[in-house]
Amino acid sequence: MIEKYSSVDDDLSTKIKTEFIIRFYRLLKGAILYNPSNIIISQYTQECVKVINYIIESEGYLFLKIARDSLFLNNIKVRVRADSYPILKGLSREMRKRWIGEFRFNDRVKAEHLRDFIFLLARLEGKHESNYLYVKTQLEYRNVKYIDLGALELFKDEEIYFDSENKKRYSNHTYFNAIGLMKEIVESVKGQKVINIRKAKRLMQNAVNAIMEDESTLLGLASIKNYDESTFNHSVNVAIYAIALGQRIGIPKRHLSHLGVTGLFHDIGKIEIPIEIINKEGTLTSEEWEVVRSHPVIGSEIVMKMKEWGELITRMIDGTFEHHLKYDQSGYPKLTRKRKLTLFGRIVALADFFDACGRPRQYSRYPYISENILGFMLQRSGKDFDPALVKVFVNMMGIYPLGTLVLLNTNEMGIVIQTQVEVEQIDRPKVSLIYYSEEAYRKGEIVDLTEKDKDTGEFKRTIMNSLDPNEYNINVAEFLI
Amino acid sequence: MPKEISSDKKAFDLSEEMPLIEGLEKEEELLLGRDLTVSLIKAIKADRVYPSDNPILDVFREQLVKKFQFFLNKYPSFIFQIGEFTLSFMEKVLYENKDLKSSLAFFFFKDGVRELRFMKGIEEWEILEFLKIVKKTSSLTEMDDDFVTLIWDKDFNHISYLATDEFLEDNPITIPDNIGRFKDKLVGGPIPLHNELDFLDEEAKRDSDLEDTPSMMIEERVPLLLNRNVYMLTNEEAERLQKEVESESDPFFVFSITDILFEILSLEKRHEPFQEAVNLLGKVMDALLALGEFQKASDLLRRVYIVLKTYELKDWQAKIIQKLIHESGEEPRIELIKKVVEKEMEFNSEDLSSYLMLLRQNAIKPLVHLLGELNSSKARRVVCDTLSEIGKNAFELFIPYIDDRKWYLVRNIVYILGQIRNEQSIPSIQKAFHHEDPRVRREVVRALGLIGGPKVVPLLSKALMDEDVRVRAMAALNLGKVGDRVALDSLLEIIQSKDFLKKESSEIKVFFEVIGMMGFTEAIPALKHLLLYRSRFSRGIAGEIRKEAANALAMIGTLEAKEILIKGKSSHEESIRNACLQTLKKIPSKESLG
Repeated sequence: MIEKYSSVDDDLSTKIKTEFIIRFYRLLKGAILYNPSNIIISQYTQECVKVINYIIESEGYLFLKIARDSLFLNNIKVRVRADSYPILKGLSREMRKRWIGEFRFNDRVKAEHLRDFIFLLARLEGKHESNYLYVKTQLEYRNVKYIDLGALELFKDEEIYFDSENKKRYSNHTYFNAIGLMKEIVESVKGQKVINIRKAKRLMQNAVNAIMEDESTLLGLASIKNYDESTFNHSVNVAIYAIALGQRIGIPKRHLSHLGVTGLFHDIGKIEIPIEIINKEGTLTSEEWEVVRSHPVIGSEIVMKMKEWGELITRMIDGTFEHHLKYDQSGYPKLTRKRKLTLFGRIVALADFFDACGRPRQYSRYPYISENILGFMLQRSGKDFDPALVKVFVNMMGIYPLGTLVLLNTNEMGIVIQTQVEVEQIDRPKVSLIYYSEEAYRKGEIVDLTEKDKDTGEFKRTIMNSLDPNEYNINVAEFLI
Repeated sequence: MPKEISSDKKAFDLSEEMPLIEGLEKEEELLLGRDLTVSLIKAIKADRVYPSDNPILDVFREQLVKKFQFFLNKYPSFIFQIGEFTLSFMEKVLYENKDLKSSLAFFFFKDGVRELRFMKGIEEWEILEFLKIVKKTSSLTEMDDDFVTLIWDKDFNHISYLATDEFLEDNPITIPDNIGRFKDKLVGGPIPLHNELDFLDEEAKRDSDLEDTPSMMIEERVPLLLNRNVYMLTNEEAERLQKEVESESDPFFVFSITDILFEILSLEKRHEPFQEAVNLLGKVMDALLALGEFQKASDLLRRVYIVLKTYELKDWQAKIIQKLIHESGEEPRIELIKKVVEKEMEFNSEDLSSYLMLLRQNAIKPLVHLLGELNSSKARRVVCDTLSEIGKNAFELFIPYIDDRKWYLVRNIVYILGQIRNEQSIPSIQKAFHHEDPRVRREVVRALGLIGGPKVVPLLSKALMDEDVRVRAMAALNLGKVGDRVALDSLLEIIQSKDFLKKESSEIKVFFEVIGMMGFTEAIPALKHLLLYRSRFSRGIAGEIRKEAANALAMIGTLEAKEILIKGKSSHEESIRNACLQTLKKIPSKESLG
C-alpha cells in the first residue's frame, strides 16, 4: 500500500497535517470514552472531517502509516516537536495497540463514515493481527469503499517490544550492561587502553530503541541510584534521562544515540579526581573544590582522544564540558567568552542535576523527592536551566515521576510505574499498588489512574499526595526492576 | 580515468560458494531468492574489488536493484538468516564460505547480525546505502563502529536486522533477575555532599544559601508543580527547540567545538591535554579550509592570535600556539585552499584574503608555489595582494622565483616586489628586465615605477627603447611618475628622435602627456620647437605631433608655455594654428588670456 517514504516535511501543509493528527487522535480517544451519539463525538467528528477533506482536496488522498517509531502522512514523515510529541506518540501507541499500521482515505469523507470507522477502530481488541481485516469487512458491509487500512508491519528488531516481559528483560539487559560498560570504560581510561566506543554506541542504540518504544521501563530503572558503583549507575541514568528528553523534543534517532553516549561519558573526568577527595566526608577545602571543578575539562580532554573528531565527539565534548554550566552561563568551568550553551550540554546538565539530587547524600540522610526536585528545577529555570527543556522534562517525568511513592484516595499506597503521555493526564499515572505482608512491602495490582468508574463516571483512584519512601523504609527501585 | 579492469575481475565465479540444492529449482521463491542473493554478493564483492569510480559498479548495482524490485513485487519480504559461515533463505543454505576474510556470512555474523530483512517498497537509495555501509564496515576498527551501529544510524524504512550483542561482552554482566540479587549489589550509605551535587554547591557558594537550597527540595510539596501553566510549553518555546534540534543536523554544527577548545586553552596547564586541544583546533582549521569556509577559518586564526596575546601562557604553551599559527601557512593547508579555489570559482575573495592576511612569512614559499599552480585569476590576485602584504619585510624570499620558468609566476613576483617597494629588490627585478614575455617586462616597468627613486630612472629610460609598444608606453608613464629631471631628458631625447615619428599615435600621445604631466619648464623649448618649427614631417604626422606638443605645453601651464600657444594660434601654418586653438579652447578663458 505504501509506495515511498520521504524525508521530513518542510512545506506549508505541515501545520494542517499535524492538525489532522491532533484531531484524529482526539476523536479516537473520544470514541474510546464516549458513545457514538455523544455530542462531543459529533463535534470532534465534524472538526476532523474538515481537515481530512482539506487534505484530500489538495493532495487527492490521505494516507497515514506507522513505520518504526515514526508516523508518515501522505508518505512524508511527520515532524516531532516538543509540543506535538504526546499526540504523535499517543496516536502511534493506540494504533499499534490495535495492530493497525496504516489507513487511507481515497475520497472526501462523510461524517457518518468517519464516525463508523473511528468506533470500529476504538473498539478493536488489542494485538490481533487480523484486526484490520475485521474493520475492512465492516466497512465493506456498510458500503464504505474509499477507506482502506492495513496491518501493522513490525520490523524484526521491534518484535521484542510487543511482549511486555520481553520488553522488561530487554530494558534490564540494556540498563545493567550499560553499568557494566561504564566500569569497563573507566578501567580502560585508567589503563590508557583504547576505549570501546562501538560497544557504548550499540548499547545506547538499544536504549534509544527501548525508550522510543516505551520510555517508562528505562526511566523506571533510572530511579535506581545506588547499584554497584554509584558513579557508573549515575552515568547510565543521565544517559537515559537525556535520551528520553531528547526524544520528546524531536531529536533524530541517530543523534539520540549520540546523546546517550554523551550522557554515559559526561562524568568521565572524575576518574582523575583523587579518591580521597571523592570520598571525603565533610567540607572540601577550596583547593579540593578546584580539583573537583576540573572534571568537565579533564573529561572533555579524555573524550577528545577517544575517536577521530566528528559529530559524535563534538556532542560528547559539548555534554562533558558543559554539564556543570548553567543556563545563564555561570557554574563551571568559568567561560572566557559569553556564548549560548549547546543543546546537548543543556540537556545533559539537566539530566545530571535531576539524577544527582535523587541520590542519598551526607548532607541530607535521604535523597530529595523527585517531585520536589522538579519543582526546584522549575523555580530555577531560565537561570540554572533552559526553561523550555525543564518544561518538557517535567511533562516527561510527570508531577509524580516514576518511582514516586504515592497515597491514593482509596487509602492504598502505590509506586508510580508509568507516566501518561498526554499532559492532561500528567497527574494520573499507572501505579503499582503495594501492600504490607510478612514484615515487608510487596507488589500488588497495577492500576491505571485514568480509569473511571462506569457507573459514576468518576475516576476510580486519585493521588492524594506523595510519600517519602525512606520514612517507610521502601526501596522503590526494587519495585521497578 | 577509471582503472582498467583485468580480465579475471570481469566476472565473479560464485560456484564454489553457492551450493546447489536438490529440488531448489522447483520452488520459484527459493529460486528467485537464490538469484537475488547472488546479485547481492556480486554487488558487495564488486564494491570491494573495483575502485569507486569504476563504471562497472553501476552495472552490478543496477542489477541488484532490479532483482530486489522483481522479488519484492512478488513477495512481501526477502529475509535471510545469517550463520557463522552461511546465508540461508527459507531454511535453505544459499551461500557458504568458511574463509574468515572473504566470507560475507562471517562478515555479518561477527558483528552479531543474525537476520537481514528487506521489505516491499524498498527504494533504490536504501539498497545503495546498504552497499555503502557494507563497504564502510570493511575498513572500520572494531572499537569504533560496526555494521550494526552503521545500519542503525541509517534508520532504513525497508531494511531491518536482528542482532545479538552477547559477543560484545568480554566480561559478561550479571543481570539481576530477582530482587535478592538486585539488593546484593546495592551500595549502602549516603555519598558525600559534594559528590555529584557540586552543581548546587556552586550555587550555594554564590548566594550563601546552602541551607536553603536543599531544604527547599525536602519541603512537603513544591507549589509550582500544582500550577499546570508553569510547565505548559508555549508555541515560541516549542519552535525554538525545534530550530535548535534542526541546527544539530546542520553538518556545520561540528564546528561549535571551537568555543570549547578555546575555553580549554584558557584553563589547561598540563602539556599533553593542552597540545591535544591545539591539535584538534588544527583539525577544525583543516576542515574549514577544505570546505572553503575561509571567513570562519580566519575567525579561528584570529582567536588563536588573541590567545597568544591575551592569555597568560607559559613559554611551552606559547610555543604550541605559535606552532599552530605557523602551520596555518604551511604547505598542507595552502594545498587545501588550492583545491577549493580551483574547484569553486565562486569563492569569496574577501574571505580568502582575510585568512591569508593573517599568515606569517613562513607562508610565503607555499603561497608562491600556489601562485605557480593556480588557474583562477581571481585567486591569483588575492594571493599576490596577500604576499605583497605579508612579504613586506621579506622581499628576499621572493627573489629565487624571479628566474622561474613560468612567465606568469615571474610576472606575479615582480608585481609583488613592486608592491613591496623596496629599493634593494631592484637588482633582482632587473633580472626580468629582458624577459622574453612582454607582459613580464611591462610588470617590471610598473614595479620600477612603484619603487621609484633615482635608481630606477636609467632602467625605465632603457625600457623606452623596448621592442613592445606597451612596455615603452608603460616606461614613459612610470618615468613620469618618478618625476626625476633625468627622466625628462630621456623622454625629450625620444620625442625628438627620428624614430619617434614612426611610433603609433597612442604611444606618441603617452610620451607627450607624461612630459606635460611632469611639468618641468625645461621641456618647453623642445615642445615649442616641435610645435612651431619642425616642418620636415609629413602633413599628417606634423599635425599630430603639434597637437600633442600643444597639449603638453598646456599641461605645463606656465606663462611661457601659454604664450607659445597664443602665438601659435596666429600661425600661417594651419596645423600649428589648429593645434594651438584647440588646446587653448580647453583651457579656461581667463587663464588662456594670460
